[in-house]
Amino acid sequence: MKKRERLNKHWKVSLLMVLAVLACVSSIAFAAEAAQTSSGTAWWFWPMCMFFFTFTIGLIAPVSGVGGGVLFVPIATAFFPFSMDFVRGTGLIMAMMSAFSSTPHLMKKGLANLKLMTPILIVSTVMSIIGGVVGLWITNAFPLGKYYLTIALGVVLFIIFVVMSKAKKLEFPEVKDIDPISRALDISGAWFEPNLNKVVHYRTTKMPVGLVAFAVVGMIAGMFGLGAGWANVPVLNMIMGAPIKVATSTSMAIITVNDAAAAWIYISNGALLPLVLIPAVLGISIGARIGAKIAEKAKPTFVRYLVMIILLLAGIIDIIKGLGGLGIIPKII
Amino acid sequence: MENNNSFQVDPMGVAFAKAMEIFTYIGLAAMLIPGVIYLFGVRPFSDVHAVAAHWGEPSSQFWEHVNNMTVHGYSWFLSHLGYMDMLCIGGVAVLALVPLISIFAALLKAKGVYRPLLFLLLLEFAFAIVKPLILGGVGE
Repeated sequence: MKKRERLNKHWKVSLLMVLAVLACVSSIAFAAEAAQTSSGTAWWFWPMCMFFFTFTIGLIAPVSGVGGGVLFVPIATAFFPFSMDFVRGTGLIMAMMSAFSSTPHLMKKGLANLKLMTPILIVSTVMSIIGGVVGLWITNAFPLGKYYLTIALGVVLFIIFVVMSKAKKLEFPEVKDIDPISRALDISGAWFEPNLNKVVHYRTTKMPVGLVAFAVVGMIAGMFGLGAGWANVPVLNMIMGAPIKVATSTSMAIITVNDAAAAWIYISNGALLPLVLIPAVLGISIGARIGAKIAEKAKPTFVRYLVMIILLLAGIIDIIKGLGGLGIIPKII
Repeated sequence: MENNNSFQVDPMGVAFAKAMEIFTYIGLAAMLIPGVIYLFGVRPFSDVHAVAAHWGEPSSQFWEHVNNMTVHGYSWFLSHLGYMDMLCIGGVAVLALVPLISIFAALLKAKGVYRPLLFLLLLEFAFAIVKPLILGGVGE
């Protein structure tokens, strides 16, 4: 009987996931078709598409472990008629919102570590601000700048794809030697791990290498309006030796500050439109609530592969779009 | 990794978390309520049809074509807060202030080397906010 119930649950979850994928694919296809006749559509059409699109991302993101911004920016750039400025601005606010929602809980549990994130933030915040400035400067100062940026985004997506496919998750990495900076800052922490039914204490190391890596990641996050969870987690976990749960939680806390700092650049440049932002925030908030429940039951591997394929396709489309805009290849998208 | 069943969450972290929780709710309400009202066509600064006609343009051109204004710093929305869409952007600004408030809350609980470090982070964040006012808009 229990086996049958489990099977039923499995089928329900699978069905939900298939529906989510179908919704995503159909909204993208619908969006792509309507893009050709955008002048003939009502003003609410694209905001409505945006709502369903971000709702779908909200369903997928918690299951795949990828932040909403990483999925949102490339796909919206490829298929929606909005300027890349507004897409990046909206993506940044979405990533910021989702980080704001989860960080307080994670920090109170001891999973997100303020001592660990403070030196990292000092470096990555500066680079995130510079990234935001450079991104907007390129699109505004150069007539073809947006196409170069679209190509660069495509390349970044390839890198994310490679990182996601290669990265291994170390649940409790062994930290033997502690570097002088980490020792001086007394970077350590503890949390209660329910799976082990005990408190786990940990320390981290290799802070200098981590700081260089976070400088690069902060720049990319600010420039493209992407959340940086895809890169923060491997650096914290594989290089600095933070347990995987601490790495994902601290990454979320880092994103709150990085993205909020970069958001001021977008606000001051008018790169936010309520007509795009509100449906996007509502869609992802509702979707993520349902997605979090699915995440408890779904098999994450399948969704992870699905997200990787979506990112790869979006990367290819962005590069084709950029090259087409520059006139290097015929304009097909 | 070592195992020992007693631990205390860092008080700096707890202060950071509490401040973030409270001000996120405030910012979210400040952004979403006027934003949703705007979608229903109440007191718009930018006409939705004009927005839809120009939303494919870079932000600087967009504001010139839709509202005949140049966007610099924060006066473009702060001086029009009587309109729902601009009030919504004001809500986003409140949200973008949340980490500043949270870092300040953590600073009050900080000890030793974390005091200057968090103060430096606070200054960096404050610079991110005032930079457009000092150096002007980007790409204008």
